[in-house]
Amino acid sequence: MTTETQATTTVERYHRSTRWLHAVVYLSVLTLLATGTWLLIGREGDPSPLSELTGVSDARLHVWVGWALIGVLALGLVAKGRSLALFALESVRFRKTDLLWFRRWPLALFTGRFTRHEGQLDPGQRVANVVLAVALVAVLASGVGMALLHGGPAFVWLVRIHKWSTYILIPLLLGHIVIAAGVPPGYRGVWRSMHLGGRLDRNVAQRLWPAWTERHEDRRPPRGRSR
Amino acid sequence: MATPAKTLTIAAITLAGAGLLAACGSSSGDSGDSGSGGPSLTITSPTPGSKVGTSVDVAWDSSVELGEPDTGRDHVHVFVDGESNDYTVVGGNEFTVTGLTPGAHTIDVTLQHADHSSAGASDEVDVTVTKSGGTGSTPSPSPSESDTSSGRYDY
Repeated sequence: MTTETQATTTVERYHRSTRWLHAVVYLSVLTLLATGTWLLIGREGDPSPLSELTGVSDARLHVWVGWALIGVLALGLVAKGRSLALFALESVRFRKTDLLWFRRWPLALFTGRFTRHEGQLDPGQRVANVVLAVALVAVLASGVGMALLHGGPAFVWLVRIHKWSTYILIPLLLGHIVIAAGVPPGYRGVWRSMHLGGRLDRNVAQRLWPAWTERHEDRRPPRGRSR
Repeated sequence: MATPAKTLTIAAITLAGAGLLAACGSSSGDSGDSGSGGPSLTITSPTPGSKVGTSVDVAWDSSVELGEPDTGRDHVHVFVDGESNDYTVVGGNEFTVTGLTPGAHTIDVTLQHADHSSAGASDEVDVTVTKSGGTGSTPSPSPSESDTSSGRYDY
């Protein structure tokens, strides 16, 4: 009975495999940001708490976790290639009505009254996804280049690309974390879509992604019918 | 027939795997002196067995041009008593180790690539720190333009 009630008042926005991929990616990225920042502020050679814990220097840790992230993303491409392609296509799809969503977004952050949009992701998420993806590719590609070249004139350019794409990535990730954590009242409750079972309140889903919620519910099998 | 996406993915996995192996290999390849044909790094001062004060000027010769990591050149990690994770990055040919406690110590230098992977050369020197300081066997290298160390090593 409780399960049935829960099923009707919550919706599953992301599957378990997607949530795990997201979790591994963000833990890797946070580790990379922590070790990268440590190096950037000139603390190299002075072991960070993470370095003390692992017994590996921060520079080595940064490189190893970077390779691990690339491996995880590659595995994600294999396992969820079609979903990721659809996700990418959805991220670059814009409609004229999205402009209205953007105009009302600052107020909706506090009131939660977002303008209706037809996407699986809201227009703000789509813009963030595109910029995040470009910055992440730049960071990873320059990181791979640095690790393979070890040094030299091209390395110097890769360091610049690596640093500047990180500077773009950091505020975007901070914004993503602040919104996903539900700090602005309009986004309260969204964190559940990626954590602890991935079921979020139906009202929250309806408020943020109305068209997706309706499509999602249309796809659900009628109650009592076996599949 | 593999799709382009699958081919790209397999290539990415192979690249990541190769990178991990390379990263692990390079970190464990710091086994002392360079082999024949590789770069070399030799401590020129202090001499082995020197009696030194709590601060000691260390100088070395390298077969490759040194610089700070963001110049793309190789650099040197300086550390004491084998604590290879607790080091100072030095882009030049000399450095002053400070804060040594009385007793026997080993000063280590390793040659590192700009990405901090090992370049395969290293050297070390044993010294004895006495309260009275050096016995004259530790020359004090005059500062040079190539000394672009990131800071002083307190130990």
